[in-house]
Amino acid sequence: MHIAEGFLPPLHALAWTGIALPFVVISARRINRLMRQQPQIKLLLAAAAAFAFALSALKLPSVTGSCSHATGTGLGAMLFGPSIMAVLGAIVLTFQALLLGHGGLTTLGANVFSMAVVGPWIAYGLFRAARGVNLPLAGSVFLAAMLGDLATYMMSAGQLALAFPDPASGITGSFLKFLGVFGPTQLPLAVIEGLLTVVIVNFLREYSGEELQSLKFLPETLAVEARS
Amino acid sequence: MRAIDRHAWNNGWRNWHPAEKLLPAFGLLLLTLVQPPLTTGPLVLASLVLAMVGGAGVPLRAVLGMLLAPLLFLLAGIPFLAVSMDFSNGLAFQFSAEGWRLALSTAARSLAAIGCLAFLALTTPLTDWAPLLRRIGVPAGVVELILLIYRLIFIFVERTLTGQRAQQARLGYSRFDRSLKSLGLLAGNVFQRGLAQARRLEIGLAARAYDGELRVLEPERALSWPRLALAMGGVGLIGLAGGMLARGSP
Amino acid sequence: MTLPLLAARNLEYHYPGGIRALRALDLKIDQGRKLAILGPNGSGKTTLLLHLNGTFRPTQGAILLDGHAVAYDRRALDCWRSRVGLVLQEPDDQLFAATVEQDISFGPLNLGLSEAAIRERVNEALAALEISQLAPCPIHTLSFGQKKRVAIAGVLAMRPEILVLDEPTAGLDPEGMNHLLNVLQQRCETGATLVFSTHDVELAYAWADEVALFHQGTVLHQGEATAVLANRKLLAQAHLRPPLLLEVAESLGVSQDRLPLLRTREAVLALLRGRPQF
Repeated sequence: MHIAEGFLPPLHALAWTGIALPFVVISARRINRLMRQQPQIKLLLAAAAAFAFALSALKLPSVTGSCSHATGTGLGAMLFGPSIMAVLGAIVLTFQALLLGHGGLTTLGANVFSMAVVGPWIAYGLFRAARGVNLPLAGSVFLAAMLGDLATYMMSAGQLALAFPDPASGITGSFLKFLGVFGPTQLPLAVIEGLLTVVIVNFLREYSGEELQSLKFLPETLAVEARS
Repeated sequence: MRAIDRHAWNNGWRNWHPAEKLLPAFGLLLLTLVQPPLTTGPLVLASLVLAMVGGAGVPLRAVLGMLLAPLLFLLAGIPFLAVSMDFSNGLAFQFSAEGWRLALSTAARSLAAIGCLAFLALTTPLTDWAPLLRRIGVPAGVVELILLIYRLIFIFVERTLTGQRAQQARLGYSRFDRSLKSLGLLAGNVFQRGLAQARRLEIGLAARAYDGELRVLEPERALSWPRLALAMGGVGLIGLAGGMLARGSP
Repeated sequence: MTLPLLAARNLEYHYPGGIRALRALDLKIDQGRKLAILGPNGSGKTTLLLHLNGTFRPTQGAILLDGHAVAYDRRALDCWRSRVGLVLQEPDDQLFAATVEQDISFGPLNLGLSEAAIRERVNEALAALEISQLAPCPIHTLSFGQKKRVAIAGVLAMRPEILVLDEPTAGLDPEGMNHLLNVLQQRCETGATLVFSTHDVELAYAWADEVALFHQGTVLHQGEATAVLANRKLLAQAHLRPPLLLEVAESLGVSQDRLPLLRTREAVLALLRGRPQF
């Protein structure tokens, strides 16, 4: 969920930028090092980010009828790992702000933190954990993608709640309020994204073994699930 | 997206040095954030719309189109700032004057900031940001990555939308479960072709002596100091006017 | 006899997974000539072209530049690729920068030239392809034909001795095709060597000096264009038919040695007009 440009009070915008920045900087260093070791990774990462952007251009069938878009957060985390996703996510979010008017520059920090840090880490952690206890791949992918999406949405609601505490019921009340406002679109969206990610991963495993293999430089991701 | 990008490349201020547009826009964004939004916000928004439509010759429709998506977010979120929810004894909602003021000032700040975003998006192509990014210390490799992503985005989005249209033509979206399947196949397909595209691009660039770095010659654009000074003066004036209005109002 | 500028000797290439894409392939490319590599789709032409600039390394056999087998280390490859320019069939596989002039500057920059020299080469390449007015335009707004010209300009700006083009006319409209052939003709007149792959016998007949007939990963025969294209037995092996103009000329009773004079539509039409009406 993109928080609109200018919506957060200045101090909050600044604070979230400060919180998101270290993740992005560490991620950028890692990517820069990877690219220097293997130049072809640059083209691969660019393709991955452009793919994530293109995914967000897809209209999802939505139960509530409102126009909704996929986030690709969970899929990205499972394909590339959360440490790479911080930079890819930050770039995609910037492009979305400047090419589509979704989100914004002052809220970039908050949006990067919820969508490119929290979402991917939750999705990735759940995916590893689910695979660790031998849950089937489809189930793991579904859980990771759906709950990653939900975590992103709850983080955004939390950010809004912190910025605008309810005069009567405080931050808790405000949090419930914002969950309630965006829930009707975000909850079905998370389920749909979970299902969609399962279809995508199945397709990739079935037909794109070679492409998944080319991501082998990223350990502990979906690349290890590639059928050879 | 195509429309926004087209205006960025074709507006009347396209060939100005990027600093002449980025610095004033960021100046106004800063004003929007630090000054009371109810007075400064409308001033900033009005002056930016004037600059875009009157100065750079961007059609008003394009500007309004850019404001539309965030407006939906504001419409959903703003009313709930005004409503207070109390569940100390049962559930009770109530409007408060303070809540209304918060909602209004948030809306004003947000709209003005969106104006700044629209100005940047509609007058300056994304690639013009590259020198600025390098200057603030983004590694050269990451800047190259950003430029490459910009190029690939258009290829991929085009492919995705064409693919979706083709699926629609074959009734791929006639039912919910079919839609899900179609979308999944489409996304998987775009991913696969995307990575294949990356590999072919590597071959194509290797033929042009690619050594891991994507350097190109930046266009030469002279920075016009008078123009920059004028723009920054305008920003200062808006700041001053905003400050005075804020002091005058209760 | 002079040494061929670039040659392939007993080339063999297996894709990872063991698919044999090229087998026992011999090819020679002489200075200043136009060579068409003619064969049906999927016969391995692109794979061969990717060997000519060192993108692929043969499983067996060798590529010879100036008669010497080339090495595949970084420096040798850089030198090789600055002499052999490759234009891929799909321009989006070759263009990566935001604007036309930026993209064209990429190759010259990699050659380590000075900024002034780079700008000169960019302008020269823009002028050669008549796209100077497109210089500041973003690439993603161009048509396919325009992108194709930009891709070629990007390679020409490196001033290669040998220009290798994969299916250069594929996807172009007649005007775009004529324009492209004119540009390439000018290159040849200034001494460049040209290699292009095609499945179009008419194009090969109208335009090439030599034809290498390609089938299932190998060159069946290489020789003078008219001689190869008049050889029905050879063509049938590659699942191709002789060009229409050649068949018309032959059925009008033109002798084999005069065929090279009748390679254009105009020449054949003039011949037809000179005959009594039906």
